[in-house]
Amino acid sequence: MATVQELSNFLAQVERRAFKQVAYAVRDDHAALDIVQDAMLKLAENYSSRPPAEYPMLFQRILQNTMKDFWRRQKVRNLWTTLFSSFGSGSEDDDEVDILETLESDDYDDADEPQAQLEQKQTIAIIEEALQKLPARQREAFIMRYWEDMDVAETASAMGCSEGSVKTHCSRAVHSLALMLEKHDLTKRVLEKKEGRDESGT
Amino acid sequence: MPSNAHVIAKSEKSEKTWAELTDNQHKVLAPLASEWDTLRPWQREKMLDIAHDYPKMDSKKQELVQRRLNRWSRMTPYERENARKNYQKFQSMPQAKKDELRKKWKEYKQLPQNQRDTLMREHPEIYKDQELEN
Amino acid sequence: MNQEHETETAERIVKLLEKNLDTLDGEVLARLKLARNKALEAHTENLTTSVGSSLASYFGHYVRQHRVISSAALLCSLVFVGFIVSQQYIGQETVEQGDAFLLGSELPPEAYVDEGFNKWLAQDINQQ
Repeated sequence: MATVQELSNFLAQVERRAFKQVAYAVRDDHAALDIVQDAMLKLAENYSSRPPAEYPMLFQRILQNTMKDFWRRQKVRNLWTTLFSSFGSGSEDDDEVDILETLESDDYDDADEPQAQLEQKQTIAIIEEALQKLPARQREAFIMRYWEDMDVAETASAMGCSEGSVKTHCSRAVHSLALMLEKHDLTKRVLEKKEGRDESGT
Repeated sequence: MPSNAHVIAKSEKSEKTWAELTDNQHKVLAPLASEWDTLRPWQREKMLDIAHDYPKMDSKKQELVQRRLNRWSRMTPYERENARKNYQKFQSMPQAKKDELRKKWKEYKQLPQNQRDTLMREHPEIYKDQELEN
Repeated sequence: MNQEHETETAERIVKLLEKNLDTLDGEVLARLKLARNKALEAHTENLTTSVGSSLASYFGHYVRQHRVISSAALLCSLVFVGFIVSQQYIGQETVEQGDAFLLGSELPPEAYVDEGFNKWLAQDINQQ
């Protein structure tokens, strides 16, 4: 059985990425936090006897299933808020944050920010928007392979598909993202080797 | 093994056997008497918290607590966690909504068992999004 | 786009995403930490259970126990941190937060998690 320290390290390491990953899929920060929390609990309760090396794959698999549960229960969950808001006080709904909207408004609000930083923020917003628009399987494959740094076999195992499918999903995802960057004329900004912007201290 | 004392001290509260509980705790947690010693330490701690809050409640609620203790102790940690979340939402509803939900729960409990089973198994068509497969 | 170019594109995109993590909202980070602590509590529960059930064969399970003991100090601090964090959230809530109040509430605990009930209500709402 893994030690508390091992589990703690693993969770601390993946939690922020996991949150983002889920937020891209469900587009609701609160729901994303709930899903990540459920997934963490399930990992701790049901799989903590497995070797820590398997955690990334297991956690991804649990995340996928928890998200599926979320879609399935979406109506059910909404029930509590629907019933509530039909009485007009509806404070619950005010909590909902649309990520894209937030990012967009950030872009407009930050007029004083140094240009390079602003550019980077805009680029990230566009990438995140593109990620949200990707078909779910492509997005998951992309995130696991490239962000979580899992190999093709692990990704396939977490997604319950063949390694060939993983490669296809990844390839299509990268193509779509690259196209989107091109469309916004950002290819140079993201893909050119020189990254003086990063080091020049914005 | 000196470091053992550390572990024991930490979980002392939750390691208490049924016989070691106070009279008041016995009274509140009576429905759990037969299974107390099989509860997991963490669960025991949560149950002792219930005993701690119990005197703050009116007698009607106290009765409900006792009646529901067994079922509560047999739920999975995951279910309990979900119940806590939904309870909080329930708490924030206006009284009229609470009453409505309580009425609905009563109606639901009166449905024939097989109808409830079907509902439980039913594959809902709420995959609005194509998020699942493509 | 060849494989190499594809990987490079992906890596650069991911680099930006990674950088973006630093801008996550403090509230989100606090919630993630809380979630992590809950998971660790659950893990601890598993650990303590396995220790409890193995007390009879104590020597046979020395290794497992040893691990538990070595992480006990960490645990104490985690529980403490969890407590502190949770206190921040309790402030504005009503006092009726503990499990006792949940059990004494107008609905029985199973109503909050009954899948069938939830679906039935959802149907009901749709028909309205």
